Amino acid sequence: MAKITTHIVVALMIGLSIFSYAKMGSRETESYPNRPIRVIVPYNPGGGTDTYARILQKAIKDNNLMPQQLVIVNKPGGGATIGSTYVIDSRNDGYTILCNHEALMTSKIIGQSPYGPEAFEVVAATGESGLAVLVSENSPFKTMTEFMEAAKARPETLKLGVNLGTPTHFCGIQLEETLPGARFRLVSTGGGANRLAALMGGHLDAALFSVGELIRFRENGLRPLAYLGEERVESIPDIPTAKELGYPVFSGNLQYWWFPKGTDPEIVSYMAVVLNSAMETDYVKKRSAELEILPRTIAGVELAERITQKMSLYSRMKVPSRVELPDVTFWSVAAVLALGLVVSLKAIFNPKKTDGEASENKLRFDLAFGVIGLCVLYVFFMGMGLLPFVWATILFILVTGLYLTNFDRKKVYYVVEVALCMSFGLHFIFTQLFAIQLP
Amino acid sequence: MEAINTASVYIFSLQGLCLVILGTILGITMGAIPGLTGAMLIALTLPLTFNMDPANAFILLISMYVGAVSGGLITATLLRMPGTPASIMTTMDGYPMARDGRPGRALGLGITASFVGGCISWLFLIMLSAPIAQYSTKLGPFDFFSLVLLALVLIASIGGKSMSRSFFSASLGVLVALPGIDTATGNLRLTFGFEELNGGLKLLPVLIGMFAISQIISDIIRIGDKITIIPVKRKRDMLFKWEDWKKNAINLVRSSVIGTGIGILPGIGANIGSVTAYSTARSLATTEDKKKFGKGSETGIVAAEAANNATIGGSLIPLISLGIPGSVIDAILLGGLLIHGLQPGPLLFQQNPEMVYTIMGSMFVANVFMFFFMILSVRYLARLASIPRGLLMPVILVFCIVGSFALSTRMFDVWTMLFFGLLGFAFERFKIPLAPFVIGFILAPIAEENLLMGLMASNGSYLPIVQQPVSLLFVIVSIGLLSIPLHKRFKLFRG
Repeated sequence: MAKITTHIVVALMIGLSIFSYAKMGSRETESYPNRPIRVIVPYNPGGGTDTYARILQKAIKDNNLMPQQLVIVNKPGGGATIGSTYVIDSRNDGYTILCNHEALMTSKIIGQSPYGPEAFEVVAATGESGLAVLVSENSPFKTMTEFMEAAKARPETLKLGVNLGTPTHFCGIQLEETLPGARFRLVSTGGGANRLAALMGGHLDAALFSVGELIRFRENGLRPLAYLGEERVESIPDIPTAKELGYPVFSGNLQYWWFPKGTDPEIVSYMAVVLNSAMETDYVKKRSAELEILPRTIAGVELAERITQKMSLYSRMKVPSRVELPDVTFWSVAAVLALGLVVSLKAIFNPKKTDGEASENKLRFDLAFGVIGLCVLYVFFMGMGLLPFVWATILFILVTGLYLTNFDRKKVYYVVEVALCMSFGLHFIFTQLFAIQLP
Repeated sequence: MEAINTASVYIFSLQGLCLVILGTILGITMGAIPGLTGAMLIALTLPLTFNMDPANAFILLISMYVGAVSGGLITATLLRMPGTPASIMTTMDGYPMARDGRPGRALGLGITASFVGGCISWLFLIMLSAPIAQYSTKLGPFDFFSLVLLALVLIASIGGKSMSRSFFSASLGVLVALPGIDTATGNLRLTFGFEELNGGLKLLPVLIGMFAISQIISDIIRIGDKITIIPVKRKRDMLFKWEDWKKNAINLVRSSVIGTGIGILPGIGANIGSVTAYSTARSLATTEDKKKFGKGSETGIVAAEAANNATIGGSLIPLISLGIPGSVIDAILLGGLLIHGLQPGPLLFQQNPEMVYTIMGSMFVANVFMFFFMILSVRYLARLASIPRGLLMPVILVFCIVGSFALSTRMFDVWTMLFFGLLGFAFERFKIPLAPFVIGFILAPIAEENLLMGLMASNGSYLPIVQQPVSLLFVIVSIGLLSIPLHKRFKLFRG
């Protein structure tokens, strides 16, 4: 009895999943956008760019600013180059858009990526946030001027925490240029959390943080010296700008939205209007205030000018580290080769008897390689787009299952059940619950 | 206080409790099926948690961790096959006792010892994490660099049988961590022109390949093995009586403390903890009791099982307070924290205290649930071992493939995973341990980042490595471990 019930439940589940699968892709309308637009965020979920993109996504959805929705897809890694390259290679039909800040420019300048802004159609830039210089509460430096003068009096001794190759690094160099003779010892500390720990532990004299980080971390015993922006921030009016003090450095960074090159200008301007009206919503204003982001939008000519100006500013910077650093690659390869030699020499001169495989049966290498072969075929067919996920999976489980159960008649039924369950079930879970597009 | 409240709301909500139950049961199940390990389960579950709330994700993952380390004792006792590597020592006494007609007793001892070990290490976890995290801000980049070196030396010198093979494995792990963007220059290195490699080899495909695919290949090779299970009939003798508590109290506490201590050491985890506690128990036993070891000693089962569960709490301490994983599973959890945008370390306590308490709380709740679930259902769980492999393997393969694809929706990661599966299998055939590879792979970026940061701060001088007291201490311990001859080290840790 129990067995029958199980089968009924399984059959029902399969039925439901097939139903939801069949329902997809049956709608088609004329005007843009007629399906969801994918936003590629080249960073991990939860980061600054991801958070901001999701805020705009919610604003667009809740206020019905567009007949379709934005779907956020995270493609992190490679200093954001993986996501950027993905968008460059995408079709320029307006259904794939990149959200990335000025790292897109800096990574071209330092040679991480062969592509810069010229490889995209820029739509708009939204939400400005700036950087600030912070020291520890018990630091001898009370003001920005004291700090800068000390950097001039004792060049290359004050440790300034930055993240190499990112706007923090460029701002550090820009600060030096505002006071001839001043030089910092630039220390790369990775992301904001690591930098804070290093500053709190006394391993740095000062560090650059975004304003959002400043407000979150301020209570941990940190003293802000200056904000690197045009005007003081409303919520922290006591912090002077570096410009007022005579060190004109502007760190303002925005989240830019980029379509692949050659996207229809009408689509670009449609999207710019949607983003602009999303920025006007109360929700975005409220959330921006919480994150200490200026809810500003730049588009059109002004944006193009800003990009040209920033590119020429960044390209003046000298980037490489000033300290002789070890060649990690060389040493790792050397270690692998040396140890590999030791291991193989030991194996040759000191052969151990195989300590008797515990198995009485023959080891089935043939079976294992057969299954690996099937796996490779399965991935190949999906990767090349020859078969969609569901059909490929059904075939794969059927063949592999029957192969491994030695084509046992009694088990065929179970294999079929498992195959249907897994393929439609996983497809349902991933596409409907997690919004992850399967091949 | 507010954070503790938030955390308990997370855990004791309907959803939270369901996740604890789901996670623990899945963990026990995977632990109980020989050939499927906790590391595999957690690596495969991680992609599914991307879209979950981080707190819920970690309730699920921690429950799986607790379940997986515990579930292994079932097959270790009834089949003489450790369900997970953590239960190897349980086979020594659990199986003889079960064969002699007392399977219920053997399982009961193991389950209760697991529960007590988990609870004691949990106490250490809640007491030690915050102070260590607080202290860790004082550790500079060179200290972290030396700590990573120590972790590699520890796993190579204690974890494996052959030191050269372990170091070879670790160095390969380091090499595999290098492709991508050079931390020092921001330029690309070792990508050989593959744009997909710009971000380096991702943690999950490598881990799923190394732990899941390689294991599946080994399982398929042995698909012909017959499995015979000792049936468990009487349930009553599973629960501890007052005399049992009295008799085993010291052993329980001692083994749990050893397990916690080994767990805290970076890099090595449950199996070493259980080996060490087992040999300590044997060397401290009375002559009469000593004879029983290996033939069904109660003390042996208790020591092994208390210690392996105690490593869970122990190894979570460096994970959440320093961001240095205490074992392979913790290394996967570290990846999970980073994916959810959480940086372990002192900041986690300040910025996301509710996450810290959620991790701690779910470990405790999962431990309690594990105890009741195992006591009630252990007789049926044993049958899991007889699920036909032919049905199980294709399902797990599909999970591996979809899981690595879902990470960043590209096929490249799937190919990576398959490649590392074959590599992991080759490792096993050539008796090269997997654990140092994984620890090297995960710790290399931390070591490199800290070394470069230290050098930039010291203007290129390496001297602070031996000038700063903490760093010097780690260096001395590492050199000490390396200079003890191999056979002595075996005596020290394996008895």
